[in-house]
Amino acid sequence: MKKINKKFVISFLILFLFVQFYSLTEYAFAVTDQVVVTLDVDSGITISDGAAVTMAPHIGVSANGSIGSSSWLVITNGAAGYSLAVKASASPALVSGGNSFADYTETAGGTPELWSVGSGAKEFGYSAYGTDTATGTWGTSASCGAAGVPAAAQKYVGFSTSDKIIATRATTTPVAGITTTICFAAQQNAVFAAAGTYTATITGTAVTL
Amino acid sequence: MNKKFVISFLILFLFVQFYSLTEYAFGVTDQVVVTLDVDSGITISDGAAVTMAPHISITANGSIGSSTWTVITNGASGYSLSVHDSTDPALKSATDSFANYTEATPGTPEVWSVPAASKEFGYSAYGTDTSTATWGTGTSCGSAGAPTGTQKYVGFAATPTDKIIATRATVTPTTGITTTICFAAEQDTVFAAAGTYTATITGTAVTL
Repeated sequence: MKKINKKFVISFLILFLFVQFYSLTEYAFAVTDQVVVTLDVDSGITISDGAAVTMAPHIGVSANGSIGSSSWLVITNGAAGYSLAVKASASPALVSGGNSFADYTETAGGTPELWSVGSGAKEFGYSAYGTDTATGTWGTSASCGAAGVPAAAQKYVGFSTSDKIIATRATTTPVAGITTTICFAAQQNAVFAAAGTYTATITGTAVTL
Repeated sequence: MNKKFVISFLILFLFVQFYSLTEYAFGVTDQVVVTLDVDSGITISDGAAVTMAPHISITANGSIGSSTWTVITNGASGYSLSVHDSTDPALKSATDSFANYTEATPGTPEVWSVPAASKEFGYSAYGTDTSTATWGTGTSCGSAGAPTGTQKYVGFAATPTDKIIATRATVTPTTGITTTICFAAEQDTVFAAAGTYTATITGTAVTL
């Protein structure tokens, strides 16, 4: 019994001294400090200067349809991405003095659809395509058409003076940006648009989300 | 008999007296042990928080910043100052992050260079006790968002691991030794999402 007690006491003392020494050593010989480093990445967005559009071919007594296109390049580092919307400055959008093309009329108001102008009407509308443009909404052609005829698989809608989104993404763009093409189409069907120069001013607005 | 005894006694007495006097005449010594304990101690200053500049954006790709620590120690074998991050990667925002700087030879500081399509965050150091062979010969962190060309940078470790940026084998001056840590971030042909990014860096000074 005495032997056990003696061993126990010695072991306890050794352990106690070791812990004391270790603690003292740690506290005495190491010190730390923390530095918080902050970097701000500013949000920014740019939109390129979309080229003016001269629709072709000219509409005449023997040509009923005309198309054209322009494109915008959007660059942003917005963490939640961006949206690109378009609107017309007037209603109807395409006018020439007292004459005009009506804004394209959809079967379901405001919902893009395959291009189709009713008889006795002359209308002006638009579609879009690009990396950030929903093909479910705007069609799958990735082209504006040819020879005055809109691309068959594109979906068109009429302008309003309110913004309508044609492209969006939820992340930053590549540094080279994302290009979105807007397609314009005009058609007269069994009626003549009065000769003249018709113009529409379309505004594209890119905003960070 | 008495006479002989008295003479012998006198001779013995004189001998003893002489011997004693002789001892006193040749010197005696004593030693006093004086003990002084010099306790080992080390301190590190409070490094200032860093706001890197300029802001990175769609038109600005690089940003730099720096902080300093002053270490004071009387440790007989000197000290070492090391750093580590607290997260992987070190520099993060709520939604995005900069990768830890990648070196050609992992873990070996090199002249700052971020490859295309990358965005990275790294660090370098300079000071009296910082090896110029390892960390470069620059004595500044750069300017206008560009790291100094002669400094060498490294990324923080994925698993927080201390990396020594300064060391010496003797006591410091009483005013201490200041070591500067340089931070750099860059995006190259890719955008870091807009936001505020932070990294918490711990400096640890230990006696050797």
